[in-house]
Amino acid sequence: MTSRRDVIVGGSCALAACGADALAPRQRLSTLGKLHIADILPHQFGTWRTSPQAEQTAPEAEDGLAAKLYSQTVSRHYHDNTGAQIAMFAAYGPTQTDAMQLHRPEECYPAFGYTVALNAPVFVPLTPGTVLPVCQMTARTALRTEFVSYWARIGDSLPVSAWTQRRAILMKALEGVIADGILIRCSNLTPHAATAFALNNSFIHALVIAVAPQHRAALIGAPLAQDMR
Amino acid sequence: MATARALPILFAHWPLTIGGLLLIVPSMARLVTSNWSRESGIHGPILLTTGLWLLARTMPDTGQKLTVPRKTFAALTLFPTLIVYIFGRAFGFLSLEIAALFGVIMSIAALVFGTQALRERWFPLLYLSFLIPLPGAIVDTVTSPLKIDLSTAATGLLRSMGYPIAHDGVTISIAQYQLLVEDACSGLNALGSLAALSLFYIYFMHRASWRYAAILLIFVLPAALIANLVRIIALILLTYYAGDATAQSALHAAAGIMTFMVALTSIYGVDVVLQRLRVGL
Repeated sequence: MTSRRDVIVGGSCALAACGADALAPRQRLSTLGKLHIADILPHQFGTWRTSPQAEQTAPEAEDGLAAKLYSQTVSRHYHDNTGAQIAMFAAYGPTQTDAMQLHRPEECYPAFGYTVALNAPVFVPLTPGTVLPVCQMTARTALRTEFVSYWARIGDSLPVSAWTQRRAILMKALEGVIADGILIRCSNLTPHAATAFALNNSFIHALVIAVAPQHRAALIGAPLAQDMR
Repeated sequence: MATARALPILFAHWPLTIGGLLLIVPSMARLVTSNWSRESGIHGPILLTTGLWLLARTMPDTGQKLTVPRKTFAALTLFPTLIVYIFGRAFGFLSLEIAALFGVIMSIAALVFGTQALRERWFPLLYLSFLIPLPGAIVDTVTSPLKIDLSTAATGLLRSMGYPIAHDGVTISIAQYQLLVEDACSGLNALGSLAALSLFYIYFMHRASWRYAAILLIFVLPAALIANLVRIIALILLTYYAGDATAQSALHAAAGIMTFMVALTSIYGVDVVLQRLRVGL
């Protein structure tokens, strides 16, 4: 004989299964469309231009895992007429979920054996009245010290910590949206921290300004891109 | 057959069976595709089959109820775990989803068979709980320093044997080759699974003597670390003697099984030594 208790509990389980699937975010948000980030990021801007040689100054994104997390990556080296050099890495992931989100450098570098010191985020001015929040990190091994500046975009937000990044993903999911995300990281090996970060900042400023206005949303999110116009 | 005895129960409580399957099937499918396919969850299938087998062995010979079901207890745990489950499943928190699923199944089992029946089966249930994947962020924080220590140990050992080897962080250079210690961003290989399998061995060999089993338990983590060290050294040597391509293709296929064997062999070794010592006392 089927008891009432069984029906209630079994029904609750069925309801939970359907409810979870109904709540699950389905709508994809893509700021990139059919474009590739390599086409958006200019090879030449301000005083900067790409160097032809592909020397490696930063740890490559992890094998296997990177391919799952990112649909597009771009790794470039830029130099200017004073001889300054910057390594830039950009990674785009079309679906940002808790399990498949951008790996932030402060979480990734320690896994490669770097000792990491994370500074408070700084605000790099873009146009009058607009600023981009940029994270600054010093990464050291026995052999080298690297000064890394980066920003991450999840949907329309620019989270400055792993925690705010998770929150941004969840907030989008609660709206029923699976956001896309991008990480832009640049670094240089200038021996002095203040000089190195200033160099990164001026590079980031020149880069964002140089990107075509209609493509900026993919890099810095639609609201900030709109404010820049 | 345990399955034959289980079927009538599943049929008699058919609403529970259907409701349960609606939760279990999609969640397990997600666990298989997103966790078991990765190195960190490679032992999942072994864990599930051995765990279910342990549980099946404890099925009573006849279908009679052993104790009076605790309805209030089960209802108290069922609904909160269902809510957590909905959240985890909807928003893609796999660890939360699987943990809550485990809680829901336990609550329903308590409702049908009583809490006493669960208490008597604490080991198979604890063992099966190792199927719950740990959140990636936690795994990384715990294991990435260990991984650097392992690289240091592997390089130190091989250098003392005269190999041309050096390392910086988790990048190991041997002769003309450069190796990154496997999956730098995704945790040490299957530490949880190795611990669970060692538990399985201990349970089987020393169920009667839990005090002794607890001592053996202390060696589970070191055994898992040794297994990973052996794996790193094997990868380095294979790269050195046979080249990069061979090492990548040959060892990756065998990696899961090998770490598992080394970990169990180490636990077995510790067991033998401890027993000798105990006899000597």
